[in-house]
Parts: sequence; C-alpha cells; structure tokens
Amino acid sequence: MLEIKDIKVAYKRTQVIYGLSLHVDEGELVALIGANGAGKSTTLRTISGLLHPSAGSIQYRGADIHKLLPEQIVRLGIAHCPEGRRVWPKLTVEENLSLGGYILPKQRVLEKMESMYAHFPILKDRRSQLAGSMSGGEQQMLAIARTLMCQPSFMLFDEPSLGLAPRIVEQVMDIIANINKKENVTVLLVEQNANMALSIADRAYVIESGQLTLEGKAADLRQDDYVRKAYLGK
Amino acid sequence: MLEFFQQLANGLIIGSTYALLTIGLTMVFGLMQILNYAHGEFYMLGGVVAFWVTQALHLNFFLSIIVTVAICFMLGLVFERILMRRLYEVPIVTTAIVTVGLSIFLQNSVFMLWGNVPRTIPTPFPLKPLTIGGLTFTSLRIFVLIVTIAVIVFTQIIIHRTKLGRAMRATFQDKDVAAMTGISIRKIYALTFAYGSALAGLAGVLCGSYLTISPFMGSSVTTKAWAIAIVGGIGNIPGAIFGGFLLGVVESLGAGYLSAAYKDAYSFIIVILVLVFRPNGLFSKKEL
Repeated sequence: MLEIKDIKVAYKRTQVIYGLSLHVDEGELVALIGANGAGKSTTLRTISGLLHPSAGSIQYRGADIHKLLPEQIVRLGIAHCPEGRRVWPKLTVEENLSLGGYILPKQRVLEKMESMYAHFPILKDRRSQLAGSMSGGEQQMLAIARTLMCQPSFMLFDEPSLGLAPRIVEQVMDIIANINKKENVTVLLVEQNANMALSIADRAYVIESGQLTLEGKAADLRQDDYVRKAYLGK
Repeated sequence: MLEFFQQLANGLIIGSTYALLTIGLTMVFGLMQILNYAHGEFYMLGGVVAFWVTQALHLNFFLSIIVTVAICFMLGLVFERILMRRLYEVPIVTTAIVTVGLSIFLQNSVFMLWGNVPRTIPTPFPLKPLTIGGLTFTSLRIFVLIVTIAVIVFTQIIIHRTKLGRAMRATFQDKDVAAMTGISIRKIYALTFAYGSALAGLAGVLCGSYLTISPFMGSSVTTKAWAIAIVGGIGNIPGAIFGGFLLGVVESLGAGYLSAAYKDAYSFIIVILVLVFRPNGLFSKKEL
C-alpha cells in the first residue's frame, strides 16, 4: 500500500535519512522503532509531505506522492498524528475535531464528530473547553480523534506514548490496535517505547542513524538478542 | 467636562480607523512573520484609488468605498503572489528590507503618476455639524465610526464563527498540523494578506474623506500602526483593536489639553511605557 524506495532526506542542511526503504501492506500495523534522533519522525514527516526527499521515491497505492503538499496527501487518505500531540491549544475540543475533518463535507463532519464522542466520551464532556487546558492523556485522545476525523485509510502515529503515564500508554496502544483491527486502517507506528510498539505490531523495522538495520515480524524481533539488549532493556 | 467628552469622542473616532489599520499589520506579522513596512502604502492606495474612482468613474462616495476595498483586496493578492510569498521562509530582517523597498516603490510610483497635490475625496455629507447631547460631530465622522465598528465586528465574526476563520486560527497556532489536516497554508496566507490590505485601504478612503491624500501619507501611518501593534501585543487582534482606540483617545486628549503640536509624540510615549512595563504588549499572547 505504501512503498518507500531508497529516500534521502535533509532537514534544513543536515542530512537525516540516508537511503531508507520500507513498505507497509494493506491492513498491517507496522512499527518503526529506534532511538531519539534516529530519523523516525523525519520519515513520517516526509511521508505526509512536510518534508520532501532529495532522492528516492514514495508510492502510495502505486502512485508517486513524494512531491505532493501535505494538504494533497491527506486527501489521499493518509493522516498523521504528530509527535507531542500538537492539538491547537487555543481552540476548543470541538473546533479541533471539526478541523480534523476539514476535507469532508459539513454533514459528514458532524456525523464523524458524534462517532468520536461515542468512542471517547471524555471529549464529549470537554467539547467546549480549550484543548490546551486538558491533561496530556486527554490531549493525546483528542489528537488521535482529530486524526481519525478525516476517515483515513492509512494512519501515521508519531510517538503516541511520549510523556504519558504508563496506564494511559496502554490505553493509547489499545486504541491504536483497535483502529487497525476493527476499523481496518493500515498503521505505521513510530515509537521509542519499543516494548509497547512490538506488542501490538505485525511487523517492525529498526532504524539507527537514518538507516534501517533490522526488519522482521514483531514477534521475532521481540526474541532477537540485539533488539532485546538495545531496545527492550533486557 | 463637556470639553473632555468631546475630546474622548473625537479620540474614539480616530482610534477606530487606527484599529482598522492595525488589524491587518498585526495579523500578517503574527501569521507569516513579515514586518510589513509597506502597510501604510495600502492605506495611501485606498485614498488615491477612491479619489480616482470618484473623479474618473464618477462613482458616488459609498460605491467608491466598496470598489476601492475590492481593488485593495486584489492588489493585496497580487503583491502576495509576486512578493510576499517569497518571504515566508526568510529571516525577519530581510522581510523588513524588502517591504521598505516596496514602500518606496509604491510611494514614488504614485508620485510620478499622480503628482503631490494634496486632495480630499468629495463626500455627500453636509459640513454643518450635528449636536448630540452637547457634543458636536460632523455626520461624516459619525459615518466613519459606524463603518469601522461594523467592519471590526465583521472581522471578528469571520475569525471566530466561520470555517475559514477556524482554519486561520489553527494555522496561526500550528501551521504544520493545519497543513496535515488539509488546510492550504498558501491560501490562508494570501487571503490574510489581501484582507489586511483591504482593511488598510478602507481606512485610507475613510481618512481621505476628511484629511488630505498624498503619495507620502502612508509612512507616518505605518509607524503609527506598528506603535499600536506593539502596545496591543504583536499578533494579537483584540490587542490591535484596543490599542487603536487607546492611542486615538490619548492623542486626542493630549492635543486638547497639552499641545496639538506633539500629537504624534503621545502615541510613542505610550509605546515606550508599554515596552518598559509590559514588554510583550498589553495583551501578551498571539491571538486572532
């Protein structure tokens, strides 16, 4: 469904990705794990069009997308839930959600919003509150719900567990697994919390210094000695 | 006491046009990080275009306002397309240098085409003042106050009640995420710049109907608008509106009670006080 072929990406003047290739098939939940600064976020930002590769290509359902703008890419059904939640702090919960569905007709936005409120009742209680005044966990729920608003068929998650209490992290991982299994949304999940990511993923890639070093079934990687030592702390 | 209220009322009328001027300037800086030193030139163009429209096309005053605002909006789109668009990723100082250049270019182009004879836009309003509760106003000034307040309210409604306004506020707060939800950042920038230019143009028509129009009338207005933007907190629209009224009133009271010769200095005294005691402006956070 998504095919990245040998991309090189520079951020400002620093090269961050040195020839990376990966693929995600329809229906899969694929994890991309690695340390801080390895190039995980840059990879996602390149897929969603905020950055453009200096070489290589990205194909989605067989068509090149690496020259498109972010607002064109979201219209193809690729949605990006950014690192650090990035809800609009001075917009209300309802305004955040409604903008999440910016590309949909008004009637559809209202329907989607009701279904988000059904999935995340906490957001319904806080609908007229400013997003910036909510707790980190609530903001993460809002960020996920906002990303779901545009009815994506492919979702990118960037460090959804970052800065959240362990109990909330598990809840967030369950939500992502559900989005993948029940809603049939293909997922590419970037995480530093390798343990959590591997527990819900089908397959995974390990990225180090802008290059992939390992790939395999998530279950196999969890048994891999190197991964256990370097990423699972065992 | 009546004297005080008269000055206060005059200050509020002038202040309303200041608010109109500053909204565009502060929005453009807040959203795109452009120090627009050519903002006053759109004010000047508003006056010049309106004068030209009333003379050459023989439109009446009210129609000329609408036509002028539309033309300034278009000019805003054109300049955004050929110039401002190249300034979004460059350092702020560069934006200042380029817009100073644009300002000189526009001033002198108008000077070449139009000369430097001060003119005033003719209006159908009678010169005879009205007396309301002991205070005297010309009906033209009342008209100016009503139009500016209506436009300020209209702007607030657009920003807070429409899908476009929501998208603008989202872009203002986090443009990457806005782009990822499908908002066209370029379109938001272009519309914001054009809208700000149209508001400056409107202020130019209104002021050009009771002050004089000349090719160089914009530069002092740019500095005044910057002063107001700083007082209100740069990038803050409620701040720009409040700051506009505040400076109008201060100028008017200063001119009435102290000396009219230093009228323009009073606003800068306020700026200095604000910078000393509240360096981020009276309304500190960026907010549409």
